[in-house]
Order: sequence, then C-alpha cells, then structure tokens
Amino acid sequence: MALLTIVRKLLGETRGSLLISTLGFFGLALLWNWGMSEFQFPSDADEPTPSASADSEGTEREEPRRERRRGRAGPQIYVFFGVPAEQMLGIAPGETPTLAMQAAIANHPLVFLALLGWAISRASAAVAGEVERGTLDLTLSRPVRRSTFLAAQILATLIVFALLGLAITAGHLASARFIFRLNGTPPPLEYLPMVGSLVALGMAVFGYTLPISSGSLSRARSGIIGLAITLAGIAGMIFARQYEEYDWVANLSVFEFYAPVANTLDPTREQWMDLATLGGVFAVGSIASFLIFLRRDLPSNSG
Amino acid sequence: MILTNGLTKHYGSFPALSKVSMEVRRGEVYGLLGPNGSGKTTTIRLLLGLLRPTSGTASVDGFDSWRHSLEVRRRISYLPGEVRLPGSVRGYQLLRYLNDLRGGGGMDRAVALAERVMGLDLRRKVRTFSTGMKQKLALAQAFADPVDILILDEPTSALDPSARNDVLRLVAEARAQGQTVIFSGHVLTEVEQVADRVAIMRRGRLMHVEDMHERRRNLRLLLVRFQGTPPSTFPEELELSARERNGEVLLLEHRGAAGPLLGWLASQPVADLAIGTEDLRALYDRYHGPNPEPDPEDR
Repeated sequence: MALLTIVRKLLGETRGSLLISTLGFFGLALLWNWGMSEFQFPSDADEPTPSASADSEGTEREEPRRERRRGRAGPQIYVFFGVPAEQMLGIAPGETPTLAMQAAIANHPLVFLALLGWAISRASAAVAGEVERGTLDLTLSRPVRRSTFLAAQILATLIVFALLGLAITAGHLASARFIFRLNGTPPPLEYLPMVGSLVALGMAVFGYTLPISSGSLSRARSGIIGLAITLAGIAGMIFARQYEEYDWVANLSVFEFYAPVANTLDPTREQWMDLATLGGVFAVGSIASFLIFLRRDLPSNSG
Repeated sequence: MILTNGLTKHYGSFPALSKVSMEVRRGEVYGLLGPNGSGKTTTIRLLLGLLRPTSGTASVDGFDSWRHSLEVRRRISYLPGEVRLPGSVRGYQLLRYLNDLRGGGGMDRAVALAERVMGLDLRRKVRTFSTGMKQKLALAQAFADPVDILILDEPTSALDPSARNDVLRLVAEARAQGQTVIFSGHVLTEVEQVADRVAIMRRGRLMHVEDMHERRRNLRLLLVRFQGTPPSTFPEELELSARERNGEVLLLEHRGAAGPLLGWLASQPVADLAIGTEDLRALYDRYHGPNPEPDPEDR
C-alpha cells in the first residue's frame, strides 16, 4: 500500500517531463518510420522525371519541394544506427527488414540522451535529491520502511523506462499499421526485445548511480558522479574499438552489452547474457543502495 | 513512554548530543528549550530513528528507536523544524498522500483542521502557499494523525500571532485527549504556556528539567526595598533566600507558605514591595544568559 502510494506520488511529480518524453519518443518513431517508408517505397518513384530538354533554371523552379532535398534516406542511415550491414546489402529497398530497421531507433543519439538523462536524474533525485530538498522527512517520518521507499523509487523508474520503450513501440505500430507503407507489419510482441534492451540499459545506468545517491546529501554531486561513470563507459568503448589489445576495456562499459537490434532480430544465448549483464549491474547497484540507505543517517533538511 | 539513556550522537569528532538521559511521561507536554545547535533536533531525529545513535539508547513505548523505527513512527506524528513540501501537488493531494502512508485514518480531520482552523484553500498547489501556510498544512496533518505522540519541532516559527494561538490551543487539546507532546521551541512564553515539564539543553547536553506545575505553585519572587540595611539572614522556616542584593533592594526567592512570610514582612522595615512569580526567562538565562552556570562535564 505504502509502496504504491509513493510510486503514484513520484510518477505524479514527474508526469510533465514524462509526458514530453513519451510524446517525443512517439514522434521520433513516426519520423523514423517516415524515413523508412521513403527508403522502402519512395513516394516519388512513379512520378515522371523532369524533362531532359528543359533548361536547368526552369526545372529547378518547377520541381516539387521534396525534390530539392539532398537525397533520399539511404541505407547508410540505418547501417550507421545499428542495423547489420549484411541485412541491408544486396536486398532491394522494398524487401529490407522492417523490424530490424525499426529497432535501430534504439541506437539513435536522441534516444540515448533521453534515456541516460532519465536514468541519472531519477537516481540522483531518489535519495540525495529528496534529502537536499527536505522532502524525505515528509515520507520517512510516517510509518514507512526505508526499504519500501527505495523500492518505490526503483519501481517508479522501471515504469518510466517501460513507458518510454512503449512510446517508441506505439510509434512503430501506428506507423506500420495506419500511417506509412512499410515492408510488413511486425506483431507487437516482436518489439519486446527492443523495449527490454532500452529498459535494461536505463536501469543499469540508474543502478550504478543509485548507490551514490543513497549515501549522499547532494543531488548535484551524485548526478555528476553518475554522469562521469557514464561518459567513462562511452569513452572506454571508443578506446577499446581503437586498440585491439585493450579490447577488454569495453567489457567495463554497460554500452558493450546494449544490442537492441541484434536482440530483436535473432536473440542468441550471448545476447540474452548481455541483457542479463545489464540486469546484473542494476541488481548489484540496487543491493548496494539498500545496504547504504538502510544504515545511513538522515540529517535534518536545514543542514 | 519516551525514554533515553545516555543518548549520544557524534558527527566525526563533533559531539552533537552527549549522554542525554530523559523520560517523557505519557500524556504530558514536554518542552525542549535551547538555542540553535543545542541538540533539540538531533534528539528528536534520534527518537524517530532517522539518526543512528553513536552510543546510548532511545525508546518509545518500549520500542528501540533505531532497531524498531517503524513501530516507533507508527506511534508518532512529527512536524519538522523546517517544513519542506513538494510544490507540484495540491494541498488536498498532499494530505491524501500523507494519510495514505498511515492507512488513511486521519484524512477527514486533517481536511477539517486545514480548511476550518487554519483557513487554507486545499485546491491550491502547495507551491503557491506562503511559508506560514505550508507550516499550517503540515500542522493540520500532525494534529489530525491518530497517534499517541506528537513531536513538534518549532511548530510556530513561521506563523502569525493568531495562528500561534491556534497551535497552542491544539497542543492543549491534544494533552486533554491523552496525547503526549514534545514541543521544541525558542519562544519561552509559548513553551511556558503549554509545557508540563521543560528540558533545557546546551551544546548537546541536557542541563536541567523543570516541572512547570511545581514551579508555578511553589516559587515566588519578592522585590523588597528596605528602610536602612536589609537583613543578612532570614528565618530558616520561611524558606527564603536572596538571589540578588543591590544596596537596600533585595530580590528574594520564596518557596514556603505565604502566611509566615507575610507575618515576617510585617515585622521588617519594608519601604516598598512587589511579589510575583518567576517566568521561564530567568531559568533559561541560568544556562544561556550572560553569566551561565558552568557545566560540570566541562570541568
């Protein structure tokens, strides 16, 4: 009862940001699918090409607006964002795999930014933020276990990530079924590995930031440390890709275990292990958070 | 009801609280007095199990405050010294949240107190409330909780005079209903008005506990101007002692019966006389005035 009450309050406090994020993810998915549709079934494919005899100035004036863009969405976009090249090459655009291309949105920098922002922000606000703004007393002076409070923070964050993943899924589903012409309409359950990858990465980042927050009095400090760990993870990935002998460094980064497209296409044992590793990072971080939070002093909000 | 035994809290080498032993009896209003940093809030947070004692114990109704903190907090409603409320919710929603965390028992009373006694519009977002209104909202909830113990940390600090009177009246009502109240504050007259006993704290130590009923009943102060030299000693049976001597003027403390005192005064060359009771200020100044009593532990 207390758990759900706290979760409801936490979600209520973030409902504005959450609404913007989910709408943003939904909109991004629509844009993504629009690009896919243009790639698979170009809308101008059947239109007559401008007359070769027309002079160049006249042609430019009479071309439809969309003809003036630099080029159609090409396969390089989807390869760049994580679709394996062999899935794209040698296949006619109209036969490219819709599900894989849709799942590649999970590698989009905007999705990454929002996901990491939510993870670090939620974790640093969970305890340190509540101590800092003095609202922890409000809850913990009532008959509420500290473990219940922390579990509510974790559950609320899990719900946030699930909603973000579902917003992308909803964008994909709406696009494939009602809005754009795509090569096939994947069933809803096919998106679960993508959503799972998103949630797992978010919870892993949340998981290693939460222990810092659980023992801290400053939201900014725990947020900055969480961000530093995240950036170090990204830098470690880049470093490991550059130097073969330091390949092991990549294993220290949670991003090494994030493979939404591969998970969606053909999840192997290795890919499930990757997901489990992300879950493990979250679990270890959560256990450490409980140990720290249950033993720590909660000083007054006035300092 | 509430018991501490050698309760100590250190932050590193800094002693925030040192060996505090006290007992708060069921149904009494226990005042906690002392300047900032004297250990009042630390004591309260140790009682609630929000802080872990460095040594010593605190218990509420037999439950250890740290190890059985949940049971302790079931019995206590707490008003923090500095009320911080989430601004994004409406007043009503906040009361609903706080009540749901306690099982929902005090919602109707909390709404009634907030709207009728405190005069708050609960449809408004909390962020639009002034500091005093937020304090009133938190107070309404504290007084509405169906608990045995109220712990109020500076409950009137942000309130206007009429709201202060409302709070003092609610404290008196709580005591009349059998609730135990710990009332921590800086305003001596308020503590004096409501407290059954008062504890005075200084630098993390409990310096003195005064029974206010005993004090009101037995202690008189006499300001006497004698004609000529005042007497240097007084009859022992009068229970009279000189607190201050200033030439012909004496400030006397009297703890005995009134009749013999009046008889003795009639026999003395008294030029002028004023009789009154001592307020809490004099007691407080003994520990926090310009010439405070030394702490035996400091020696």
